[in-house]
Amino acid sequence: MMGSRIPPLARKEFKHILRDPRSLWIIFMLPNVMMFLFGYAIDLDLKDVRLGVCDLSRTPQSRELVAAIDASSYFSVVARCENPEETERLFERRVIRAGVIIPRDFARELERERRATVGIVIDGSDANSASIVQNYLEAFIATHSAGAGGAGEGRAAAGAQGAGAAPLIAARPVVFYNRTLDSTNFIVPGLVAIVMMMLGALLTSVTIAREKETGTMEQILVSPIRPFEVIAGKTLPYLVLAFSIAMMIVAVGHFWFKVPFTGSAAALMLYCLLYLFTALALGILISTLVSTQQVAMMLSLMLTLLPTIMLSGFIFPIASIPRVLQLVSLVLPATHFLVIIRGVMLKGSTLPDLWMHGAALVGIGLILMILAVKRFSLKLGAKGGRA
Amino acid sequence: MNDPAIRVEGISKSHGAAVALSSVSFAVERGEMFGLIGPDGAGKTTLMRILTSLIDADEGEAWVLGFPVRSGAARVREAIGYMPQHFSLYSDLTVAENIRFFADLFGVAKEARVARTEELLDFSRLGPFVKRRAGALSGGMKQKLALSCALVHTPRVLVLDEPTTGVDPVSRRDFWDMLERLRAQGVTVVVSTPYMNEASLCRHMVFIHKGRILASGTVGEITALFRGTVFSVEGPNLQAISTRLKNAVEPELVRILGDAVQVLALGRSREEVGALLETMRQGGVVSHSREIPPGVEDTFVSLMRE
Repeated sequence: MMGSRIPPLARKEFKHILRDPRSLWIIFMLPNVMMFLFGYAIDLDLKDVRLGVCDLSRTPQSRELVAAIDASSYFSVVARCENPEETERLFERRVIRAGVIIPRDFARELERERRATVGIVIDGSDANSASIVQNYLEAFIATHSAGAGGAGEGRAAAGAQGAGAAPLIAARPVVFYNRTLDSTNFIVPGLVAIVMMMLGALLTSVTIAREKETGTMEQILVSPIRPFEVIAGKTLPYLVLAFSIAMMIVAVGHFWFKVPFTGSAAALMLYCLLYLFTALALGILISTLVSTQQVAMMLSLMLTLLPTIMLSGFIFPIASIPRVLQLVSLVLPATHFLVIIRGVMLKGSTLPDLWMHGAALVGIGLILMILAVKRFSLKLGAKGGRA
Repeated sequence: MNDPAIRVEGISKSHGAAVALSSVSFAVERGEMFGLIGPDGAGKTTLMRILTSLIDADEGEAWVLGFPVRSGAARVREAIGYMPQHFSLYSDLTVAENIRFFADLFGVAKEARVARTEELLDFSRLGPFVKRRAGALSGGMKQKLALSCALVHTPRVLVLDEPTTGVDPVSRRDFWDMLERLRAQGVTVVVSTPYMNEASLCRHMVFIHKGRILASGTVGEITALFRGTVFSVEGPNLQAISTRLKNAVEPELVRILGDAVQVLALGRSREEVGALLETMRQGGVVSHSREIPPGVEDTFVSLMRE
């Protein structure tokens, strides 16, 4: 008889879930909508950025550079100007997003000093993509000039290891794991983490608040139930629900967004469960603090979405955020899960590789759960304080 | 075993600055119907929540079947059946599922549960509706289901917080019949109500007003506290009589009850009211007036004004 109150509570909760098909539909559709919305919207890659070129040099070398830029998939030259002022007008009319100005003495300098300067004009009104355009253009021109220089001299050498071109070689980053630098592979696993955190916290935070709101909590409380039983009985059904949603969106990520899945599915599932455990624990903790569904919903969205997006390394690398916030990111479950899911999906990390992050999730989840159990009072009216 | 069903000693409780209860004491005998009577905001709900261990009193202690509510909450909760004021059921669960859930919650074993459910469905006449979702029941039926859920673990003490508030008169009478049958089975029933006319259905009662007990005892003991006279006035137009009287005495002391107007003459105002009625009789407004024995409600009205 002891401890047997968890199954009936869980069973009842399942019935609530299944008998509300509309909510169930939303619960399943919302993550998909988010996946598609953000999966396509957050595209950090550049494709066919419209360029204006002002070639003042008019030499074979400069024409070669322009042709090379145009041939790349990142840029397409849509306008050729006679003088630099013309590019300005094209900016204002939003015809181009960046301009390349090749100075008069480009070819001469390239011959004489084996290096040349090219002017780049960028529309800074969209700072984020501006810096991406800048990096791409710089990198592109650097590699191109290296290639051109190298070609001029290295033809005779015919050696693959021609070290003579050294002064022209620009730093070329070597990219691992995500060889095409396709941001989808980076973003989609992150989205899975965010959607799971948000949904997990939302689902459980609402469930206890709902019973407080309708008054059924009062009836549950007069029974000899223990806080642990209420919380376990409330969490289990949502763990099952959230887990199936997690599997669904991982599948969407893999099959639709073509994110590779190189690691073991079993490892990911186990870590998914741990991660969901933290999310549900957070939701339960929230619901012990508030008394209406509305507030529970607001609070769980606020506590999950923003910190997870900003501080977990979803978009901004943790190394680039202020030191104090780095500490915050350390206690965010998503920070650890991001390492895990990216590791398992992209790198093929195995279960033991990630044990530290798994342990962190277990720790965070347990602390949240213990807080929730402690905070969950078998007395009414948490606001009245404990006498 | 000689403990009373409920004993309350010097219970006080404040919600911030507002005093909900101040040194309330009383006892409920086993197997009796006990009423907590009082207007809205008197402190009835607070008192019941203390009895069911849902909140702690600031001062004083209460015992249910000898178990202290503060330290023996688990035992108290097992022994007590509680129907909160704004009881609510899971509207998406059926009648049977609601009963089943509360049975499981109270750890009722399977055989006992099956038998008890049968019994309760019979008792509440909800049998034909077992498969209906609670949300689709009528108000009176919902209330019977709530009572059934509170009874599923066969509690020896049943605490009901304003069970008949907002229920139609027929269902209300039905409900009281059910409570009386439970009491006859030996269950101690503690019921709160703002309806004074329901008070007389209780063997013992306490009258609570602004957190204090103003009177306690049987119907006879309570009405003996009445100081004044009750006039029952008849005439062709009760509304007109009522209006005239309300202009003369305070409006709360006048009410239309059935085919007569009742007016309370408190303290020494008996002669004044008598003279007024005589004048009205001579004017043809009143055909007949007489003194009647006070009821519980009359007593409460007079006590509240003291």
